[in-house]
Amino acid sequence: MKNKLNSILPPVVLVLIYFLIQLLLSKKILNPYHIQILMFACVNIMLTVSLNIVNGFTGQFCIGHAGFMSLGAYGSAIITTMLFGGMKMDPNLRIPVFLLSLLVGGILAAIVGFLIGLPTLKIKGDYLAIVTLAFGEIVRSTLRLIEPIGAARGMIGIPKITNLAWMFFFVMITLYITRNFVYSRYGRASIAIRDNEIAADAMGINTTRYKVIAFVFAAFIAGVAGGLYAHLMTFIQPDSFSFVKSNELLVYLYAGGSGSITGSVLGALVLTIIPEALRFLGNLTNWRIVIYAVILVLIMLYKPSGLFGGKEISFLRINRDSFRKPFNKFNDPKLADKQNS
Amino acid sequence: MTTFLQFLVYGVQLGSVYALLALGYSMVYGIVRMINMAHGDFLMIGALSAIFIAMGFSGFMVDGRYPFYIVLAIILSAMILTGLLGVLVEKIAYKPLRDRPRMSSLITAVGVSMFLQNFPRALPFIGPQPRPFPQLFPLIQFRLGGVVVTSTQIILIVVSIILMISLDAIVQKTKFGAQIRAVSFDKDASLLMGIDTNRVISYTFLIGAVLAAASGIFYASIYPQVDVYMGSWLGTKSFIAAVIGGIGSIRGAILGGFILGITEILATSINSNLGYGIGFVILIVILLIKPAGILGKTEIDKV
Amino acid sequence: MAILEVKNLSIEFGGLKAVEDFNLSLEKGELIAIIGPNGAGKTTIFNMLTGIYPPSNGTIHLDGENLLGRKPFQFAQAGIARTFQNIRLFSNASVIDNVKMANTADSNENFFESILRTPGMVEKERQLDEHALELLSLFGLEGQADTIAKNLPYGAQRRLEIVRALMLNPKVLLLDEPVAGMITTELDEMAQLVKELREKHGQTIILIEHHMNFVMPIVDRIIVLNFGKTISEGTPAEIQKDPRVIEAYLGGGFHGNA
Repeated sequence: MKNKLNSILPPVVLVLIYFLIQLLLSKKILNPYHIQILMFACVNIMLTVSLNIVNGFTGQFCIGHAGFMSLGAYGSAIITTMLFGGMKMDPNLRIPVFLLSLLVGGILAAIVGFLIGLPTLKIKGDYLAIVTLAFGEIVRSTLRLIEPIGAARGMIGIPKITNLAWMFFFVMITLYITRNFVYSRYGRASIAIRDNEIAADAMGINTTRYKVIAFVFAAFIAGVAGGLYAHLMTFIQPDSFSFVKSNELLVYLYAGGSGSITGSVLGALVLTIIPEALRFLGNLTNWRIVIYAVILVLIMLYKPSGLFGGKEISFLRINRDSFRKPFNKFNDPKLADKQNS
Repeated sequence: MTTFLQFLVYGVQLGSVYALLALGYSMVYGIVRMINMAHGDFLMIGALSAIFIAMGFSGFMVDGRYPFYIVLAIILSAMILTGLLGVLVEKIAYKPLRDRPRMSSLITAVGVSMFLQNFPRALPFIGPQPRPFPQLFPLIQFRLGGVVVTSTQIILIVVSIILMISLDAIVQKTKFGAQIRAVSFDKDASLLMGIDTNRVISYTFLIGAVLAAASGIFYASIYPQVDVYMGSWLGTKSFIAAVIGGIGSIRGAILGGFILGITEILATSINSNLGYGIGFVILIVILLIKPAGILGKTEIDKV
Repeated sequence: MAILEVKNLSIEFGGLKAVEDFNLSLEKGELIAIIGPNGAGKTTIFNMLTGIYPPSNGTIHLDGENLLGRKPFQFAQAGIARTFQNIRLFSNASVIDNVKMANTADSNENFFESILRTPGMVEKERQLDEHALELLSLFGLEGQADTIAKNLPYGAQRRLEIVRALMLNPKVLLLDEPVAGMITTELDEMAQLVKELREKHGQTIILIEHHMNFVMPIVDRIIVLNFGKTISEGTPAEIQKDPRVIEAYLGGGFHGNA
């Protein structure tokens, strides 16, 4: 009963928050600018959670995550602008085409993730860091050269379809599938690799395979998040996806606590909103990244589990009781005996 | 053939910049098994501090040029300043994490890199705009056959090679070099042998940052523009050079630097957009064929 | 036919012969020990038998199947499981997850079933849990199933490593110093457990151990190594009388508790 409640509660809470926000919006306590910030925070949540799969749960180190985001953003934006721009489109098809474009963007990011992950993850060591850093910059400099998609100026006129409801929906899905991933053999293999790669190998885990799976899965989510971002901003340019963006995601991740989904959510949410909330102090844009850099170093030095301590809220945890048959223990005479002794 | 030789000159010149920077990555990796993601930024700090030091010395200019001994003073003080910064960064940010999982120091290095780039960027008197680099070296053109070589290029290549040879000699021949090799082989055993490992590590960072500053000044002398992000992509490429040559190996870093510099220039001569990608392609190929790099040794996991 | 057939296994590190011409023919259900002074090459043999070090010479056949050239995870999947001299648990995962992690290769639910948590996947997880708990209970660890592995007491960590290896359902189990650092009562307990594994479950086991009073009463055969070479082989009684062994013990500064 408690488990049933546990699985229904989070969507219900999210829907309630959604209506609360709508109410505050109608009462003019919140304005559309606030909503915009909240949606950015949601995009960052998706990106940080996906980065956590690679860096936090699998113990690899990707620092070019914005590259996957840009592939998804461009991939999906090309599809929707092409289909919506040229011909008159049945309005009923808008949403299906949008969703399809997000899927394509995600798959594009996943394929590229596979192509760079396979050769790199085969090798022990920290090479993934430098390969992903170079990859992110190569994607960016390539995008800057392609004239049909606006080169360095970027793409404009992307239909604005992403709204708060879609954002909430996708954050929910991301959290759900990421949690399920972590509590499956795929997640267990990832954690085994992170905790002790030699032992994982000795326990029959094909370490390369599971590293690549985690990496591709993360790239896919980042791609979808990029698509949502494109249809929220309505314009995108290659330089928004540079290593500066990737580094920001690292700060969200480690501030929240790597290896904790809750931490990623809080890290991305809080650190996206705070700089905006402090705008009244004047223009902080230049100092924001300096402060982030200091936060990152201080956290690694003094609180490696992150500001929020690496805890996981119950929705993002799966207890073994939730799928153990209720009185299984007592039905099994052998175990029951042990209990009594 | 002449064009090829001309490109070769450019390639060697870029290669020596990469090689000087790659040395720092390789030495630090060899000794503490850590990718110092902030190493490229020492290049930028070196170039940037040279600009400001040169400004301070502008009173010594004769006919709009710096005399030789002032140039030497500018370069040396920029190198020393950057070197001390390297030691400081190691003491504050990396040393406390030495016994933690390797991931921690990698992340911290990214944080340090972000700081080194964005702190000057946020300072009003530096800011994000690229700034011109003063002409420190004389610019006389020589013609050898059809190939044009400038005095700047000659100075740069010769000085780089002298620096590399002396570093190699220090590491191979001196007592201090033996200590470096011992620490990179086994830190705990070296400690038991009475080697002050902290001192050795500090000196390694010092040497790495000094060479990075030199490469920054040389790079800015050929492409006279300095901005706060320049260290990031030059650093990435030099790291790739270090991996190609075999990370942890000094000669490997030099070899990798020249290979990357020359292929990059040749690729750019075919199509200007191929430059950035070529290093990446070589890296992937090397990782597939010989993950330890050309001169690197495969390490055996102690189980 | 022997379940594990090893012939002329040799390995060099930088010109130094760490193990030379090691031969072994292990029958199903046998329990043997490899002993020898420190640095004799015992763990190196385990590393070759699990694919971590590729031997420079020799062959390894498991159940008639040639394993040479395979990767470590394939050795494990083929049926050679091991524990480590210096414990290598997945220290931030729970005890039961440590055990379940060893089952990764046998789980067959696909990626999409997993991220959607289909009823079929949940059922498989439940069965896996039951199986893991069953194995844990053999070693008295079922009560700590949800403890984080690094918080377990030392002795329990050693036992957990064995349970984890058993999860692979191995044809041959390699135990690398299972009682290192244990106190006498724990030692007797472990001897009992290893004996039980062999007697009740027919598990084939190779042990590396220093503690002679742990090894002698439970094993069928002992192989003695010194400087990478097999210097003696036989029943515990034969070994105890072998002058070459005594020489290796006394002359080689053997620090075992014989």
